[in-house]
Amino acid sequence: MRAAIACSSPWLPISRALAIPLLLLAALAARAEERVPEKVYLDLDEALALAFPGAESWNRFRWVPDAQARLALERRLGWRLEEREFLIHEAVRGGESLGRALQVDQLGLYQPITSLVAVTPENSVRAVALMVFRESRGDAVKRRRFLRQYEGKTLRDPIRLNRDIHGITGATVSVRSMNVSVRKALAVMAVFGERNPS
Amino acid sequence: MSRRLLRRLHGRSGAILGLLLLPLMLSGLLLHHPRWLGAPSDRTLALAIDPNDPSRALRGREQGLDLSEDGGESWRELPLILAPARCVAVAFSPDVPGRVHALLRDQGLILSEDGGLVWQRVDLGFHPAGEGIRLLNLAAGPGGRLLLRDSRGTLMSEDGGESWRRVVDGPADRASRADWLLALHTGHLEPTWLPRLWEMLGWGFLLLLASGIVLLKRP
Repeated sequence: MRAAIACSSPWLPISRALAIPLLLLAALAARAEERVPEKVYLDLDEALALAFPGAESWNRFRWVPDAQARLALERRLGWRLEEREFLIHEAVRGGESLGRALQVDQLGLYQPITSLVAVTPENSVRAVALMVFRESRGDAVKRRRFLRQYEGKTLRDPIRLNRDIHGITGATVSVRSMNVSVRKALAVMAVFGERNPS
Repeated sequence: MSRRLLRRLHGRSGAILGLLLLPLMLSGLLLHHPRWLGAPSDRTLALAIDPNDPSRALRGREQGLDLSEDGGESWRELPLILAPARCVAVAFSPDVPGRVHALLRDQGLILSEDGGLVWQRVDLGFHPAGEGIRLLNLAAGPGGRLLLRDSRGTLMSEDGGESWRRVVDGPADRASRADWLLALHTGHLEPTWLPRLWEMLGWGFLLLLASGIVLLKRP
């Protein structure tokens, strides 16, 4: 009898209806508390091979920009440089340069996002690859469809969200961070190229 | 009242309510996809003239930061690597030539020591976007004094932004509650999955409305 009364209680459907939002909120709270593991999508060699599949050998330059180069870089970026040096990889086939690539660690919301930006000898983007992601959200920037938007971009392009780069819902900070990485790599490679022609 | 009449009444009132709810659902979907609306809004949000060099002025916009070197006759966008979004305040130092701060609502405070050509981030001790704090306004006074208003209260620096202390810890602004509701409406309260859920519900509602109208025509 008591069971029958309980089943016919008007509160039962209400409590059932509330259960799903409450469970969702609990999952959300648990997610906020959890520690975010580092997601490694590619190591440096894999990223380089992806950007320059035809490369036969690699030249590596450890470039420490002098005061003049730093000033030129900062003026192009409109931003104070934090890096002291850059490791630039040049892909070579048949004695000719296929292009250069730079690994960039750029702050997302709390943690750096590591990516590889490869450029052609004419200093336009050849490929961008996401290598390591450390944030709790926003890793949708790893999608091929998103990264393909950067191909062919040069320093003359805005490389800005909602201008020439389409954003991803829920990944705005990561998209902005990737835009910064690409612009920084293009500027570094341009100034480096002016001082060290292929 | 016969069952058939009740059913017809239910169907028609459902269709009318659905049509009335349509603008709400469509506006929600459009808020999720701002690029469907064309170019984003680019209003001017802040203007400031350098008190040490009146030919120099800065203009903060929704989508950028502009510099004028002829007293405001012409402007050019500063090619900042960090795309400045929602630049709500610009404040030149009255006593240090070339020093200027720009306040970006969700991205933080930035500083230039050369009148706006090269910028760097100023550490406020928190991440506005990560902690849901909105930066609202900024004022610069002599002696490196800065006042910054955010959605939690007021911050003060007496050393040009090196260190900050909170001077007014009042209750949250009324506007921030409205913002919270807007974030709930658009799903950006939990931007990883809530916008997708809202979007699915929006499309589901459209489907329900269309199928309901088709069924309404049947005897």
